[in-house]
Amino acid sequence: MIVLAQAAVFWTAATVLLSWLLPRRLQMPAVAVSTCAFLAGMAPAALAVLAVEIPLVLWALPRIRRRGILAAGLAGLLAAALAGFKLGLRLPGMGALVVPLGLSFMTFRLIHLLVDGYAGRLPSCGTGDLLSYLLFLPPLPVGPIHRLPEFLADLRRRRFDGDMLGLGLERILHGYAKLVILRNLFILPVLVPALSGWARGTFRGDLLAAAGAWTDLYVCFSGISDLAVGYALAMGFRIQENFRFPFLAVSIPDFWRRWHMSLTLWCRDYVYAPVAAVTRRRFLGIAVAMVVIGLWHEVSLRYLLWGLYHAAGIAASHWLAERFRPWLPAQGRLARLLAPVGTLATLLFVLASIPVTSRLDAALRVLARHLA
Amino acid sequence: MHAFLCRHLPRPAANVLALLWYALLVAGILLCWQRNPAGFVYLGL
Repeated sequence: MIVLAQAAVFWTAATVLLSWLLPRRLQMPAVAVSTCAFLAGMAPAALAVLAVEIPLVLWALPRIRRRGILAAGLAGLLAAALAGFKLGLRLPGMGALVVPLGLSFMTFRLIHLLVDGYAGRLPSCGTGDLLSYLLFLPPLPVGPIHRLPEFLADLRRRRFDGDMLGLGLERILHGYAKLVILRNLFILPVLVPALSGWARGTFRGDLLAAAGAWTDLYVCFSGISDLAVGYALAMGFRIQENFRFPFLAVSIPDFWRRWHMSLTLWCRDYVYAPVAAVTRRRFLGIAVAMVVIGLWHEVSLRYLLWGLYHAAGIAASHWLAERFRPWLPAQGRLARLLAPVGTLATLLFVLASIPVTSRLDAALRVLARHLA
Repeated sequence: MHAFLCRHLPRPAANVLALLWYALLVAGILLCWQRNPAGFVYLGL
């Protein structure tokens, strides 16, 4: 469980001030030191893990070009470490492992560096720039998963800009309001209990409860993303957005282009593309990418099924779009009339993902007990 | 919000409305702090 306390919000605000008030050559090093101090205070375990993983990747990057075994080995090692924490492994002399703050997102960033370094897609930069990228506080705890090329471009042209600071402050205010006003005063005490109290135990009731859970998750996660994007803007960086009105999506692939976009894009580039390129099977790539997203949420049979459910939805959506493209207009009045139908169908499909996969999970467990 | 208001209203009216909106949000946040001064956000990822 990740806890973002008010102290974290104020610490990040102080880091924004540091990033402008110090002499220019000290600004980004000060941000990196502030990030380390933040982790030392809030999540020492995260700092300990990163103190091993970051130097390892920095050592490998100059040697990794076209050395597939090194890149795949290190990426596999980082993914295995994250999986170990997710699975709650027990080490001798220690209790069960818990995922340290920000480790998921740091693992994604490190794998991005390794894969793009192997492919020669990384812009040339020094260790200081890489540390500034990896130890950039706003998106560190819960994303978005920003990329090195965009970060370096902003780093090179970074100048104080009042308009950007204003945009950032507005974004921070909106994120904060989502979390403390909308969520704490309306969603948690009113909406979620109201939706989960109807027709309990039936599929319809579970669908309504899922609507409450998805709304809560959206407001909470998009509020935190607003804080990260806002703080980054206030520091002079435009980082990847995470949400773009996902519940207005007109199809299931469209939903995944709007929901937690930085993770979806990461999975497209580093899971879907390699699997599809090696196997020449597009739908296998979609299935593996969605299973990775599912298992990232929780390593369990239910989330494996959840990933496969969404993969089936995306595959069916692509198949239908290809089959009916000659008959369906891309623009015009009919397309505008059909868009709400697509939005409603997508919404129902997404909401049904929780009750459907929970029931499948329960059925598979019963079946396994009978067979055993 | 300010950019949105500027697109649809004359600049002075957009400025005033945006300021009122920000004041409302800040007041709401302060009210929530008063009710719950402890940590406020959790996200299980």
